[in-house]
Amino acid sequence: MKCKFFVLISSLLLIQSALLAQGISTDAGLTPAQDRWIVRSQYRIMGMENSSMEMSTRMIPVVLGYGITPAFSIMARGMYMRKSITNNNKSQSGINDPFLLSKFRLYRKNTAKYTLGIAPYIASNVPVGDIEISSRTWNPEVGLNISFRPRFLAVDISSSYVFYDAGSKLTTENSNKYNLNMAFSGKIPLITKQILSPVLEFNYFDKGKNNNSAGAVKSLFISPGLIFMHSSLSLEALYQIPVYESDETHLMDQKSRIILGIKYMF
Amino acid sequence: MKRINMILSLVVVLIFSVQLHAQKQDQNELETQSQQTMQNDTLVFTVYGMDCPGCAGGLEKQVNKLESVKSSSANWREQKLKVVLVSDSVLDIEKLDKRVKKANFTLKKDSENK
Repeated sequence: MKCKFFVLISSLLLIQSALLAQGISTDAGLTPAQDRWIVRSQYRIMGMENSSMEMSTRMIPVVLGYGITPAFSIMARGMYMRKSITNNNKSQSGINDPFLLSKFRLYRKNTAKYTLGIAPYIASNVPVGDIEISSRTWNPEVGLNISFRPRFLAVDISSSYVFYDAGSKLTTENSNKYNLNMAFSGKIPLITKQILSPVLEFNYFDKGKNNNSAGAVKSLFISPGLIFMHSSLSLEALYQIPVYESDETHLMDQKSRIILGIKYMF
Repeated sequence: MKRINMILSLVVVLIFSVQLHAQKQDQNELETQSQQTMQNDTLVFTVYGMDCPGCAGGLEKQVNKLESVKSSSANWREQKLKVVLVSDSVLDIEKLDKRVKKANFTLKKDSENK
């Protein structure tokens, strides 16, 4: 029973932290052009372990974004997920809650030397996913993205706060979470319409304590990565390394993660 | 670790394959562009705010909606927008400015006419 509880808590923590640590500067502070579509998919491999068990999760999120106006864009995300516990060969798979996001352009300045953009967003899951995978609660999220792009360099900061179980439907093991992502990247022009972009990301998340069960968890990932872009198509790879973890529950340790992605804009 | 190496190798191979394909495509595009320039009126503008090749596509999509524009191509590195006009047409700069703004970029007003 205790083991099952540990697995449930760890599983939820793993999924939530994975979703928060988006990777590859997903939420830039620059809203897309009007009438611009963005299709994006990733393959994420992640895991947790302790002395007695190892848990791994594979995720395939598919994201569709659209610029309704230059100052307002929407995004929808669906995700297939498969969780497995290596010790006992148990696995669960299914479709996670759909996630909807709307982003607003608060400020944008374009100059010859740099571009600066600030874009807040509001978002929420829709709790209709498969029961073993999804959270079964509404978890609204607010966030702020800032992008500073001095020509061939880029700094992206994304900060968000998730209110778990906003409708207080369940007394879950979840609690509110704060997340901060910072991405630094350079752009190496190859030939016309192509760039190679080395990326270094810092992903921090802080899951507060709740009344019900699990304690506070703070973790920091440092993630080197690479993006190759040809015209409107980009391929990306990111390796997320856990460098700091403060886990009051001492359930399981985070393992390194791999994110492979593809993005197309039209 | 072996699996990671394998995945990374695959990514590298994929990147180089795409690059080879892209090189050929770029060459074809450049040839087509130079032919167009010979036959049509072409205007070149400076546009600020593009920071990747993908941004250029968003700008071209907006500018191509103008009736007087036959085609356009943006270069994010040089911050330039090249507009090829339909024969005997005049480009309304205010309309162009609105289209550039819809792409979230900024048109530098002093343009050069080729």
